[in-house]
Amino acid sequence: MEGFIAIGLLMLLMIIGVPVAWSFAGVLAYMVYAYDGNLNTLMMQGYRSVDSVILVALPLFVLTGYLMQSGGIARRLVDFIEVMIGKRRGGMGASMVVASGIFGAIAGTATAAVASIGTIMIGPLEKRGYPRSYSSALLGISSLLGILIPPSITMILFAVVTRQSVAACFAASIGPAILLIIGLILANRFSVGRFFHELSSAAGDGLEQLPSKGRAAIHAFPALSLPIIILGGIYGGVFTPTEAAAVAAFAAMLIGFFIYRDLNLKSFARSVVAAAETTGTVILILLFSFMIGRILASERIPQDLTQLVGSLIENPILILIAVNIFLIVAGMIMDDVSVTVVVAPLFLPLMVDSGVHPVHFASIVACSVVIGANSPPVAPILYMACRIGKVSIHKTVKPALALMAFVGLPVMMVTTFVPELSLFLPRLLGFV
Amino acid sequence: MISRLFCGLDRRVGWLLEAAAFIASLLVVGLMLFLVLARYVFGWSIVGLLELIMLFGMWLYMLGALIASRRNEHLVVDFIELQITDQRIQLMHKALISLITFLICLFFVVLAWRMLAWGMRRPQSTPGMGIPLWLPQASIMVAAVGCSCYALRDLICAVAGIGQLKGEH
Repeated sequence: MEGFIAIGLLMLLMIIGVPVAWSFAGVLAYMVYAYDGNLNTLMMQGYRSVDSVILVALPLFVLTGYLMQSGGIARRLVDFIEVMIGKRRGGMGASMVVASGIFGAIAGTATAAVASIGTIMIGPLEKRGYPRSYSSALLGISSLLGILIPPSITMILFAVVTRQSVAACFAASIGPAILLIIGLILANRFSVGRFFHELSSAAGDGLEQLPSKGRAAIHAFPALSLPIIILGGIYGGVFTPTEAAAVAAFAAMLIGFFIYRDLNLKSFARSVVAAAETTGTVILILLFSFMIGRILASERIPQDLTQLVGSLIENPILILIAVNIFLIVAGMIMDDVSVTVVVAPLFLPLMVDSGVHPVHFASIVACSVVIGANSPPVAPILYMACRIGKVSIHKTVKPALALMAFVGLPVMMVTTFVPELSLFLPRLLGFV
Repeated sequence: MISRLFCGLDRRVGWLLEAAAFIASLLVVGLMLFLVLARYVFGWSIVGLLELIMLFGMWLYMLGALIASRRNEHLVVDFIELQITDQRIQLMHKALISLITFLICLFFVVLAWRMLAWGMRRPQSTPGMGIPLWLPQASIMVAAVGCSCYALRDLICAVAGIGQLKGEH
């Protein structure tokens, strides 16, 4: 009963506008009262959970994202992809999807991708005939590729709270990410000509001013080498994910300062402080959620939940569908970090009991976050995409929901019911 | 006069927080890179370097959280806030949220204080470098107290705004 009150209280606090971190702390206060928690040791347990070397990857990847934005790396990536595929039918929309994917392979956050790719691409897309509402919706969902494509901060958080291998969780979400990229490109190609007409590239969208393919490739080479360094380093056994994050941040710094020369001391300092701020907000949520998790675990609430659901639903497929629906609804009213750190450890015993591998569950959670972060009323990424695209949320909701229904949801279903999509790579790499 | 004094103080504290977060970030990146270089280039194994990285990492996290409180940039579900158009109701909503946040922050202070007090009674240090544990833990106390102060600031500003609005009417 207290568990349901705690979830209700968390949602209430968040919906009325209490900052997410303080909503978690409020729920923690209630749980300490309800379960007679030990105040002397509780914070120490929270501190020990946050004092993790794996978690240091978080500020470093966030910093890499900000440096990519201010150091001109995102610009060169977009230029390169536009030159390569921008002139085909639906090519500009596809460019946005692919650029977001590559950006995600370096930075690991959706917010940095929305800000960087959106600022650069929404204007040219409009010149090519793409309505701003559609471009913003496409930006919202494609920026979430950062959550699926490693290095992903959501996957780092999942691995930390459920005590799984970060590299295995990274590898698990690559399959769903590729599926989402293909789905979005196909959906975009289908939309062009049916819902709006794409103008030719000669209509002054800036494509004619872009460099040749070879030149664009040379310009983008340092930027494109970053994902190779990060992923090659992690899976080649050269770096741990945290070390790879430090190398990525340092490389982004060097590229921004000395190769592209878009970075100066002022913008560098601003990026570093912004990254610290973003990290601080996430870590505070994590600190309180760890303490909540401790109380939940000591009261055996995840196990009780497993028993309760098991007694109500016997069919594992129905359990999976029920968990998927819960994850999507939770994503609609919570942010991605909250869903990952609260819902994942709560449902993990149930999923394992239903025969789902924890690493497979990681990619299911990531897919649900993709849908939740774009679904109103909360929809933090969609709201941000609308702000960048300078368009009202009311106009964007329709195309966003359409993309979610025809691409996001099918990808989540395939990820849920075809475990090999998520487990193939971790098995191949020997993590599972 | 008092408001100008507080503005000046806020600017200085803000600058200090940002400078400290900047230094902590650079130290985390630099030390982590050094760790990689030491292992692959020089073949050294430096005992306890990770403990030092974690010390600066913890300060980086908590300073970041404090900067977010100062700038009011903690993650918020602003669905209701965006629906409110009346300025008076907006201020009342802000006052309510700030009050709740302030009360919760006080709970955070109690938790952080209990941890520090417990740590002082039974002093512990890291195994490699012998760094006293209260050093990274103090960052949590600083964040708790700082966030409470900023929540109180927001509450006072919102209440003052309501009073000012009443006066204008």
